[in-house]
Amino acid sequence: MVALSPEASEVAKRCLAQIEGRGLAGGGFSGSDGGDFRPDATAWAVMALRATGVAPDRMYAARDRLVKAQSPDGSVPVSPDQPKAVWPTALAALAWHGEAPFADAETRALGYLLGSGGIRWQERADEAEMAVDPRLWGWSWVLGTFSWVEPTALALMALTAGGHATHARAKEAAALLLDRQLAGGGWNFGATRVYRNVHAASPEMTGLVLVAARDHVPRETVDKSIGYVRGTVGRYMTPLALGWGLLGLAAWDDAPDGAAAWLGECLGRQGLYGPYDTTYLALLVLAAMAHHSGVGPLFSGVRS
Amino acid sequence: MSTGAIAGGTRMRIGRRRFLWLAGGAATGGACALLWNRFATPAWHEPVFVARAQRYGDDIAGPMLAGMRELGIGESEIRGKRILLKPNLVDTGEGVVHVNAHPLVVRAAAEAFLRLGAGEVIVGEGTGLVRDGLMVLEACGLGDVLAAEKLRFVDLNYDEVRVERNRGGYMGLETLALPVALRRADWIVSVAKLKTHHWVGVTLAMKNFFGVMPGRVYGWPKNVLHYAGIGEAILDINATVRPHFAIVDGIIGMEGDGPVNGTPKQAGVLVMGRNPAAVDATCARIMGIDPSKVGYLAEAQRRIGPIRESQIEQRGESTGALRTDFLLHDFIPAQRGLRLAPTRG
Repeated sequence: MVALSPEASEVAKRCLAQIEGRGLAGGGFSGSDGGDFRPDATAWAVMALRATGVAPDRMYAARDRLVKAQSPDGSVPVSPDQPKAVWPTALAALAWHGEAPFADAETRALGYLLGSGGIRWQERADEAEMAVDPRLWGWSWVLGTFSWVEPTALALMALTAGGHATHARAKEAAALLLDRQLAGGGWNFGATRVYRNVHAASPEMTGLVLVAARDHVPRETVDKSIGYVRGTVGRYMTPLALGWGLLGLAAWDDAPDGAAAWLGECLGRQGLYGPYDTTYLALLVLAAMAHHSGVGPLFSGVRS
Repeated sequence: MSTGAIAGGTRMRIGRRRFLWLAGGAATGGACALLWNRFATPAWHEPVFVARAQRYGDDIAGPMLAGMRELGIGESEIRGKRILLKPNLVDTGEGVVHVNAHPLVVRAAAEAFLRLGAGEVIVGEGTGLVRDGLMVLEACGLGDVLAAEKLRFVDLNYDEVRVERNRGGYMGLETLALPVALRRADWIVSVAKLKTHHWVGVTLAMKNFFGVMPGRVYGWPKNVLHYAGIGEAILDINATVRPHFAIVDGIIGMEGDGPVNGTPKQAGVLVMGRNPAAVDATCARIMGIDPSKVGYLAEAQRRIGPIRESQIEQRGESTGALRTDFLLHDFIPAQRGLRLAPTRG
């Protein structure tokens, strides 16, 4: 376990202050100052608070608000008027994980994930048009659409935390993620080649998949992707690229020098872009904590 | 289902029958009576201004402002208004100028509106392919422009949303979730890029509005809209958002396998107008592309704005003189058969 540096501690503290300022009277968190309840923002806020050691009773109302947002089928949609946008389900499961009062909600969310997913095809697509294997079953952002990298990675993280790491769906999710890995290393949203051109990797998606795939694939299958993040982390001082980049490296025991300073600089850029979304702030908290807590417990709350 | 739905798009496959059915349904429901009546009016003409602009380092705001005045846009219309500029940002595009709407064009647009007395100019985008929109801002140089000009940025992927009735009726979605920033703006301006596109032929002022659809509702990429049909989505978004102005950065555009992986193509133009369909049709002609062969533009003629030359009042430079044929690939189905017939003489 690595001690949390004063710089990292300061970043986490400042982010948490902003996050807590977005707590809502009825439980849960908004994504922005003065905004409405958002399940994804709430789940991320809970994960950030949990990572910094906030007592569970201070997060009860937020977790309970997520339960109220859960549909009878176990999914947690973005909002009641967007019932098909179920991608926050995996985040809610991670936020509930490890807390007895919410075990049933987590079980129902995981059950929903195991029984649902993105559209998959019976046959491989025309190789001249695209390279990914559409027969693999992962998860979509929105019901009725294709399986993409981010919702699949988040679902895999939730299933892994929830004890389903060896389930067939988890194995297929890991296979899907490897299928979407670019030959030169890295991931993007989920398209490797279209027609004759290879799509570029992006640091945030690569970092995320490195976190999700940690317990599922051997290192040699992701070495190039680790190298890709190594080469890009710190280049962009933006929450997603930097936060997921650092977490992705930490998942494979890599800690670049200067990470805490980068996080501080990234946080300071709110002066340019305006206050960050709660999900961004929470991600920065987790990135600041990555080498102190270990990546697995950051998302599951359970220390091995 | 086409493979395009997987790769981040669905090829435009709007058959005439489907359009007639969809349009008929919408019309029967009275959903677009105003637009329909406008179309039905034989005198529907729209002016479009084309300016020469060879380099990003040149004065762009000047010709842009001249074009706006030529189009009848002056202080009396803009004074005190909140203007939302929606630039086309699709990828980091570091070190290249043909992927995104150029930051200096965005800056020029902001300057032009401020010189006309705008109360505030905001920049808003919700990237669809790259998840980290702020990274795209930083990498393409727009972040520096925002800082220097003190322009506020709104990440449309994360803005609060408001559900609105879909005024188009093409996709089969009754409502669209739109960022509240759109409705807080008095003027919504598409700041687009002159590019070919591998799923729908071209991406210009109308297609640029894919970027207003919030990712947290529609995903990254905005795959709900791909499954519903990219062309249909373009029409629905434009019919619902009802933008006020469009500026297309054609100083250096993209040909071939756009919207990300194509190659630079110098066209040396800025195209602008109040009607996005008329602007896009003019852009297409400059690119040597027949707008009537681009599925969603052909349909736009019925509902969004005119695309026929006879209904577009060309101001500024002549499109014929500026035509420079953009590369179209035979191996990309959406680009086959789009070439505009050669001009005579």
